[in-house]
Amino acid sequence: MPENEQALVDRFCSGDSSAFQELVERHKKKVYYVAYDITGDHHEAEDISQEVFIKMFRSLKTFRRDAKMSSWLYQIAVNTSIDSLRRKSPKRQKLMVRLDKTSIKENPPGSGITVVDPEQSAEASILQSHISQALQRVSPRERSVFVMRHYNDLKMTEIAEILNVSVGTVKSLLFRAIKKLRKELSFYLGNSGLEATYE
Amino acid sequence: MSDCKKCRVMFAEALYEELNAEQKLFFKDHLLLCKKCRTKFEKMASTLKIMNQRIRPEPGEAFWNGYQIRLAKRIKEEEILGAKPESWVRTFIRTLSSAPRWSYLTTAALVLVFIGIFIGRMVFSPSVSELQQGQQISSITSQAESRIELVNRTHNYINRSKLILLAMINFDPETEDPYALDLPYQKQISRELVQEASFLKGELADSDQRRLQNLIADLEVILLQIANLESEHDFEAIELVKDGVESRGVLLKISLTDIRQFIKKRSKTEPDAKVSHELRII
Repeated sequence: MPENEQALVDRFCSGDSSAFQELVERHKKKVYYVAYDITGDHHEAEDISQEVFIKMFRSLKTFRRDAKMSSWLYQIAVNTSIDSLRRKSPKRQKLMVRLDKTSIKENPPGSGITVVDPEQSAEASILQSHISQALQRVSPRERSVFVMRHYNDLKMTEIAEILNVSVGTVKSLLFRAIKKLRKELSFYLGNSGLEATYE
Repeated sequence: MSDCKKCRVMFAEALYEELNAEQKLFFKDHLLLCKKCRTKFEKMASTLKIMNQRIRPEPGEAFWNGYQIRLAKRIKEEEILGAKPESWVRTFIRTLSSAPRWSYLTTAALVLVFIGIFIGRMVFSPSVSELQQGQQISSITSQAESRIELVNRTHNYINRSKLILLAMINFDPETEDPYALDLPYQKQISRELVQEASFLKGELADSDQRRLQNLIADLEVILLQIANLESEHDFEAIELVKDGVESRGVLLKISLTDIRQFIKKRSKTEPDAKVSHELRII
């Protein structure tokens, strides 16, 4: 049974550095992926995720016992990612198009993508490119809410807590983000056959 | 709020299945009745289905295996950077931020006072150029005053010399005159005038009054002859003085100088064309 996070924090406070390593091990993927989803750049995401853990390393001793560690880390990751995006000029923002055969093969199960032949691979590549571009067109705050809800499975109440806003604001940001994405991807909505039904 | 509006507010929650049972029922019923809302919702849901096709590239096992090492290295680097001696700028900023409030207020007050003094000096005190101009004016004025004073002294000298010369010229040894030449007195005055002449010549040369300087030089020679006379019966010497006065035209020169002086004085009081005309004639 994995050790309680609070116990790990206590161990770290008493000078056990392996507790910090354990905490990093537990959260590194979540933090990296949320940073990647917001920035769309692997190197930027790694840099941000490391910054998050450095901040954690420095302020772990003052960490509130009643707070949720993952929410706290998400909060730092989102804020650092948004700051990073603001520092960059829009021209310099890279689009997250890093698709090759390897990445498609390493695609996690359940994504719905199966590469059959080169033609399909090219089509998939174009779609990925369009999705990435559509995400970059959404504002950093709207994008943060969208990626947290859509790709990181956080509930709206959790997102509200992370961003320190009301649930209503989260709903509004999410609605606006989907609306913008719909506009950007309108080409695929006409003939994709992806009709939705509410069960 | 209309049902359509109420329904659209629920879109985000409905898409991610976060509606409660009551909301779910309302939403479902409304979509069955309202085609517009149903179309909109379907489009949004379709968008999410497309977004589901996004592939998030997996950095790979090697990346994750080395993550802790890279992080530890970075933490070490940051600690080294943090342990470096603080720059003076940072120290200054830290000192400023830790200073009490009254020190800011005092500094602000002092700065305001200095700014006030600076503005006051700039606006109300004369500038350097004005001071220089004033000095120039005062030096010009003093120069003009000294020049006038020199001219007056020279004319005074000329008048006194003129009296001596006239006494010498008008002296007639044949005539019994109760007011005949008092030569010892004339000699004494002449000696004094000769002494004064050397100073006057220098001053006139400095102030570029060449005409007056030449006249004083002529007078000096004649006055020196008078001062060197042995007795009033030395008629040959007295005749030599008279010849000198005549040959040099000293009395004429004195008269011309007097006229010029007179015209100058008049032109100062009545600056008209008549005076300038007279000057041109002279």
